Amino acid sequence: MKDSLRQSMALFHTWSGLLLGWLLFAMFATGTAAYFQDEITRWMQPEVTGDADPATAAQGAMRYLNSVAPDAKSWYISLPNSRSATTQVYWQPSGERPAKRVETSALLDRGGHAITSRETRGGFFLYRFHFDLHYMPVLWARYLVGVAAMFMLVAILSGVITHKKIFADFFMLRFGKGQRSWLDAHNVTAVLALPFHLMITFTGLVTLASMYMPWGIAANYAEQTAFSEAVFGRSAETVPSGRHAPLADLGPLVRNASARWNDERVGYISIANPNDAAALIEMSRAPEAAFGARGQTATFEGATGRAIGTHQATGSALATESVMIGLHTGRFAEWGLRWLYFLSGLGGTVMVGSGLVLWTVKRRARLSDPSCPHLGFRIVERLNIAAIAGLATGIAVYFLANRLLPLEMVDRAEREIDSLFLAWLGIGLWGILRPAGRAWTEALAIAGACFAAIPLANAMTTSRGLLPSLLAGDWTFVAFDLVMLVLAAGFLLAAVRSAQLRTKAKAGAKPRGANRRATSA
Amino acid sequence: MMHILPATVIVAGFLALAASMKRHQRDLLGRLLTHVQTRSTRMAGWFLLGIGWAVNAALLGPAMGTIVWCGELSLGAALTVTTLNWRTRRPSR
Repeated sequence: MKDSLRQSMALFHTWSGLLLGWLLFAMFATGTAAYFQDEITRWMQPEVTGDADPATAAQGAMRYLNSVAPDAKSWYISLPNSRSATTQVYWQPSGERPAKRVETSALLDRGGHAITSRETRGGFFLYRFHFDLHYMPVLWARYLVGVAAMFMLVAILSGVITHKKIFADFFMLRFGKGQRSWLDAHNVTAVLALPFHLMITFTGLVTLASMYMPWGIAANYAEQTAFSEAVFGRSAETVPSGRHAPLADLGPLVRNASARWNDERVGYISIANPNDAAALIEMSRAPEAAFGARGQTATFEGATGRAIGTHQATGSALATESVMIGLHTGRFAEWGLRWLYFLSGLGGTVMVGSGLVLWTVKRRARLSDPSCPHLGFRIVERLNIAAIAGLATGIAVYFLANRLLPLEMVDRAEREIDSLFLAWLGIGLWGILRPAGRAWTEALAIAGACFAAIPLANAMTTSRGLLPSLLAGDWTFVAFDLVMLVLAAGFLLAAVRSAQLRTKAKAGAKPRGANRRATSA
Repeated sequence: MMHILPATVIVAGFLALAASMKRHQRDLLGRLLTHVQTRSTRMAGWFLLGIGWAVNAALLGPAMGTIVWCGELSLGAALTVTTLNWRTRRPSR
């Protein structure tokens, strides 16, 4: 009975893990990078230095928006947090014409001047890719990501049942033993950060739960806007009066809101009908101030700056959701905890990657003719190369493109993103065209070389290379370059190992793992 | 810096837990422990993990302390695995 449960779970674990494993790998890798999205953005905008004060930034953003879109329907200002130095603004133009994103958004420095040089989406792109993917409608992407996360949850739970020695093997990591080593790596990365994996997968689903399961809201509210109004106190649509009235200064209002929240930072400002007598300003507390992602909001009359009131979404369900999203995104984490988040995420990435490789390693031993595997095997093998080495190379090339593309290039930010996917595609094709064993070695070596090239490109194209940053005590830049070097070393080591294994196999050794009965999945 | 004290306690806890497992005793201690010693080592290990939580909770409050503790548990276990690997690899070479 017990064994049959284990066997069915093994089957379940193998296939739920494999089917969307490649997507999960990409989600884990980019999600892990997203814990440092502000630091990545800083590195990708080396011209921007120093910290920004929210009140000054808000005032600057207002100056900018008054000059480009004084009669917009609404403005949105995302203020710098304690780790970033730039302000992101969006606006909804007054005309009916739908506008492209690049025409209605801008990235500002702390004085409110648009940053036009070295246009980039920085770490924010990796963060959005984590759940919005790219080159496809956001809605589809989020459903796909949701299905993948659900599979992940299933794979984690069935995995704990399947790997019967997961706790007995808690500390076991044996190198150079073929399949056994892959299983060890998979087990160890899974079990060591098991609380993190469970938390991150479950809370990941919660972040988009009301999209995946809209029926609760649909059954109780006629429209989504009625729900947000009731719960978040947001007025669905304020009607402009048509009378012009200049907007009150935002700087003092930011300080006012901040003072209400024990001097916590304001994170986000939305303004309906700016420069109209009926303008309304809503400020939200920065998410870094507490576990809960949904903080308090304070509302002000736009023309007079008079405070209307503060609002905090109440109710235990909302508080739970808010804390779960907060736990997932880790915005509250100070640097020590942030590194723990990052390392756990890296562990998760390795867990998914080693699981994918394990699928082929286990089956290679049982192939009737290892030199000519069946189609399914070949597909998985090639997709593994594309997913693991391909994405790694893509991310490295994204950073390289940021340093190497001409600074004043048109649509530069988009070209950086295209570089990522071109490199990814390139490695994918390489994996198809070359013999699988060689393709692994070569693709891993390319990934390693690209990561190693990043600190070099940084030192040659900016004045903030590793050495000057070290001397200046600029730890963000130092850490970024060092992480790139560690990744480079990791990938190059993997390339060397895979080359060694190939020569060993060629020397007439028995196929790896052939003499070992598969102990568990 | 906040992490150093609790993380050290947690690593000590995991090392004790590893030492309470027969398969790791030779690598870690060079000999097998008696039944009684094994049991007390295991209890000491769990106790140290608990102390790690208490230190975090005292420093950071129960909520933040628990979150940080979970992260340190993963890190501490990873460091223990590395230590074990390092100790098992050397004699065989």
